[in-house]
Amino acid sequence: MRFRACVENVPTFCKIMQVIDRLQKKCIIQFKPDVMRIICLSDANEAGIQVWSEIKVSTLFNEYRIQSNADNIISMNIASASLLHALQGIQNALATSGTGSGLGGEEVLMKLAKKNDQALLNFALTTPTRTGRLQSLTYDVRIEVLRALDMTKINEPLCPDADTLVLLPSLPTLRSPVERLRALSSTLFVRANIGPPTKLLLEVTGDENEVKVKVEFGVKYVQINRQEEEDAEAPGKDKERLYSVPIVAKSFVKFLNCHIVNGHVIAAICHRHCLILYFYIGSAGADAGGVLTFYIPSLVDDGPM
Amino acid sequence: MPSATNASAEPAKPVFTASCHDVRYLTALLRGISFSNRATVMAHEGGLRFSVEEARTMTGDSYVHSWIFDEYEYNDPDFTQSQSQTQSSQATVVPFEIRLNTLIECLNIFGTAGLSSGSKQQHKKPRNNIGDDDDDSDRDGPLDKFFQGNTKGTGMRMSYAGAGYPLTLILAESSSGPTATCEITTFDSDPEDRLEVEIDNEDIALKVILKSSWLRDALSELDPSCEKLTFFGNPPSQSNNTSRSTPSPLFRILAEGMFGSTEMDYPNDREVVETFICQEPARFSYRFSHISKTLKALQVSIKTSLRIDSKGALGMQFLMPSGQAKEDDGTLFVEFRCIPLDDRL
Amino acid sequence: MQATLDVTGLKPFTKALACLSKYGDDLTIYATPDSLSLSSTNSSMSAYARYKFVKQFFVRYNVGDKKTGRDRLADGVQEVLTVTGQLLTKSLLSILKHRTVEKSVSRCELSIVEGISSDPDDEDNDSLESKLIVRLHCKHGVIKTHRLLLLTPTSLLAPGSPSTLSESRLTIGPRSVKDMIEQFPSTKTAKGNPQLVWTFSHTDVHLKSVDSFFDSKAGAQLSTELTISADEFDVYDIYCPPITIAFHLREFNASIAFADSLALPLDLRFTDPLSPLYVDLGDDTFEALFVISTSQVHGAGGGASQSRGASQAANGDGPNGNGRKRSRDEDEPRRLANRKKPMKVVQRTDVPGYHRTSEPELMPPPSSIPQRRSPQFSQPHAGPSSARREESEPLFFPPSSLSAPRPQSPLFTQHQQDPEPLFLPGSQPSQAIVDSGLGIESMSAAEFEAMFEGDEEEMELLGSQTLSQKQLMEGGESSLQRGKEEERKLEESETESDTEPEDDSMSFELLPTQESREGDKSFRPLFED
Repeated sequence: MRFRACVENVPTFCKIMQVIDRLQKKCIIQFKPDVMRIICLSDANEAGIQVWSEIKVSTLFNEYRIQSNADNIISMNIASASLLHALQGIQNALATSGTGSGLGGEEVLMKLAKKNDQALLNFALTTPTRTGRLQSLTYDVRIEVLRALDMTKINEPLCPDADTLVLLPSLPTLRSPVERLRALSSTLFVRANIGPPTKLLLEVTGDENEVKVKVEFGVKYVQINRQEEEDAEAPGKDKERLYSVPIVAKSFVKFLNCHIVNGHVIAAICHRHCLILYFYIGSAGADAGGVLTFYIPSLVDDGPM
Repeated sequence: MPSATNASAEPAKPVFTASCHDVRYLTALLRGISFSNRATVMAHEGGLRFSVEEARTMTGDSYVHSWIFDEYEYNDPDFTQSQSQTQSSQATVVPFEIRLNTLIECLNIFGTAGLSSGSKQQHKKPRNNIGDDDDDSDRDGPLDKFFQGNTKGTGMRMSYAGAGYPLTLILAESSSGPTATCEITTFDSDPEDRLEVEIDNEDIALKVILKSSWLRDALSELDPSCEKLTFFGNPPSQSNNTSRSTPSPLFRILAEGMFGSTEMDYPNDREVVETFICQEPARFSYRFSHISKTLKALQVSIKTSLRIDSKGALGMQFLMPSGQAKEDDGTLFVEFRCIPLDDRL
Repeated sequence: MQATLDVTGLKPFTKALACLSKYGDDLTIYATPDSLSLSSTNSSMSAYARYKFVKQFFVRYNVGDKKTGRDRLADGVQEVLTVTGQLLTKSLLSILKHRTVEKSVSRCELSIVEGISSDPDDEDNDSLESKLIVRLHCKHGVIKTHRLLLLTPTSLLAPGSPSTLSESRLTIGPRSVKDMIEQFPSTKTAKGNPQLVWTFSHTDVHLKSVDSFFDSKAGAQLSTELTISADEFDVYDIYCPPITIAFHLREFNASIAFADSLALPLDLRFTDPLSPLYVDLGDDTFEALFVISTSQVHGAGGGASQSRGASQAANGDGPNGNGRKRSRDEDEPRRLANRKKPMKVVQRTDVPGYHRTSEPELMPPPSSIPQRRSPQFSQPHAGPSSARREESEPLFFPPSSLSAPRPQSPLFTQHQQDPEPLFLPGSQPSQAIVDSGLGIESMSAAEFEAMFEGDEEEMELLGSQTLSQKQLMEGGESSLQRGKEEERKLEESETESDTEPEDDSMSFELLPTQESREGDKSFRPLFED
């Protein structure tokens, strides 16, 4: 198997890994000819969140060459923090040299390599130092190559159709309320209706029942074509009805770490089943640079709500 | 702890309702006494009083006057029963207890309930040896309130229906933005149980009024292992003697502990000490761990008035900002009262 | 002791304290009429920092009073007037670095009053303990007086002076070295104390992170390497390049931060890879010395298979190849276990001894240049016995055997369990000396010198050890070559990661012959089979 690419967009790659690192120590990265997938499986993190993401190769890399016996797909386990630190180091080096972003200028070469029987992802670049002289910098991140057979056992979670889909308010707006709510209770209820008017509610009941807080946002309902047809067919569908998912409050907080990356979020609520958050890097829609999908399972809750 | 119970009949009017367009000042008043999570709330015509207590030695009170609110309405629950409307506004009020930190969290739900203050902003973002830790910048959530340089504020409407009902808050940053609705459980409070520290205002041994920044700096500079704090007052006529030895300072704070000792001496300079009344040399000691609890209030306070009676009962009043410039003449304050340490022990 | 600082002096003084606090928890004050020294040592005694402020640094400075001075002269003893004291660094630092100090302090007076004062008028002294008094004069006449309890140390820690022989010297600006180190992510995580390996060749400097990269799964997952031009250094004078040293970064970073805050360049000096690193910086009014112990540079191998592979590569031609390999394998578990423990850089002395070490001009220069070191450096192919000779020789033995050049030691065989540590020039009295009961540690310079005719009286650093220079040079050169190979490989358009195992550019192929010295005082066998 061979793999090499130039990392064009170090800052974005860095930010994505920052989000992943906050969530889980180890993740799976799968390089395919057109996309890079990053997968965090729930058994490794306390909140039960799974992250499945698909990032277009063109968002982050160029001169991308991949070859393997498994349909030119290469999958690996990697420590998120190590990859993050390597990228941050690269970012620092580029910043010191003045280019700041790796966009044009120095080439950051990433490739699959092996040293001492240890597979690794190697990053190399040559940058000028503060004095203008050249320095060469390399990072080797240990990886564990996964076989295609292993990957067949890893599947994206199946969810029923969403009961409602809404466009979340901007993530920075959500941060403060969610932090406060998390401080008051470990369980967060996420609710939304179809509307219009469509509203998103974040509710908690204090762990000792000493407080009830409900934060309400006016949001936009997201229509997928299929949905529209359904709505047309079922005019009696309750626009007011609130669909709820109780989740671990910390999960939502971890998800909100995405605010460091520019993007938009569509939230899908499957009543009492799961909450799926689709984070579109850059703009939403077809020309998005990629999607990070967060699957947050519902808590089993016998509460009055 | 007594728990909330449901009232059998709903009263016609809430005991009080209040609204304001910016909760900052109210929040600062509450934060000042938030070293204890259990606060007793007393509502009356003139406003609200929040009280806390520490170790049966110190009390903290925040006086939230009605004029801090845009609207304030008080309805004495026994009004219908009593014959006289001129009944004392506090006579029949039943205080209730509330989790103070929960209330403060709710007020700050949108992160804009903080008063920016130099000292608060100093404590953020610990730095590594070389350079910064990138992660810190993303963990700002709970710390956001300390960085608010913005003018946008959180507006609120608060109401309390009466014993057994929760304290209800509705908050919003703007009319079009998100809203938060909070119901905070209230608990019964036993008025007999509350500590009252008496200060004999007719028999004051030492009174000092100074800018809060001096006291704040003094307390924050002290070694945390400090145990005992002593206030010394020397009448102005003696403090400026020209004898060979060091002249006694007008006002001295002595801190003692395992580390050694620290003395902070304040001269008879109007820039430092605005008012100083002391007939005879005075000296009173307190437990540092109690006095240090005033730091939160000090951080946003403008001025401090410190008075000690001949028995050593200490009263510290911290003048707090109210956002209404012309009203900043001493009416919005947090008061701490403390029983002295017995030096003879 | 009384010293007065104004605003200009207070800032660097406080920064110095901040740096000292990173080296150790305790601050040792040592004041003479000419200068005030503040020093600190870390708990494993593997890093030492000392700041020496001369009289001119202060607005006012004096040590002792008339009465004391008179007494001493009357005794006729030519002793230097000294005042010593010890306290927690953070106690003093937290006072001076408070944000209010910068804003409002105009003057700071430091004074030490000793416990038993014969001056009845001394109102500052009301107990039997010594105190450090810090008096801050603030604006508007506010005065803050802090009285901190001082311990009087009975002994002081001091480093040795390094040999100037075979010394490599470097000078670099703080910004440049900070930039270099910041590219190593391990320096950013708070946990652990990362190490870097520095290889100085003729034209390049190669830095590498030391992580148990290829070890078990629990090991670090990231390895970083940086190659920069030697021209980044203002002075680059390497004795017999290439040479490789490794040391922990935690304390070094503090020194860099200090240098950076005052824009002062750092002078680095080191001799062989196992002698400590000396860092100097300063200006007209103060000087700072940092001594940081170096660590063994070992192979990258973790498992037995790794090391065997490595050893084969390194041992190629050595006649003792088999022997080394055997010993190394046996050493493996212990070496790995002790890998992280660096050596001591200081030794306890009494106050006069401390004074001697801090005033180097009092010590006569070595009267002869020992022969034993140079052959190692200039003859890379010395036989295996030369590799062992220093390890085998005890610290203290009759002068005759010391003064003879030692191309080989008949005492040494591979199975010798010789407990005495190495004796090298330019080192401090080791525990060996103290334990030897000869009272060497309290001899004057002249007396000691007389004992070892012709040898330097400066003592060794406890626990220092050496690799054979041959191995070092082999390792150093081969790593450089490998480094170049790596660069070439990078330039290739494609690499076959599966089909061609890339060279282990991580390892230096240096084969440690013994485990790292622990920071204890007992003798440890230098060499085990």
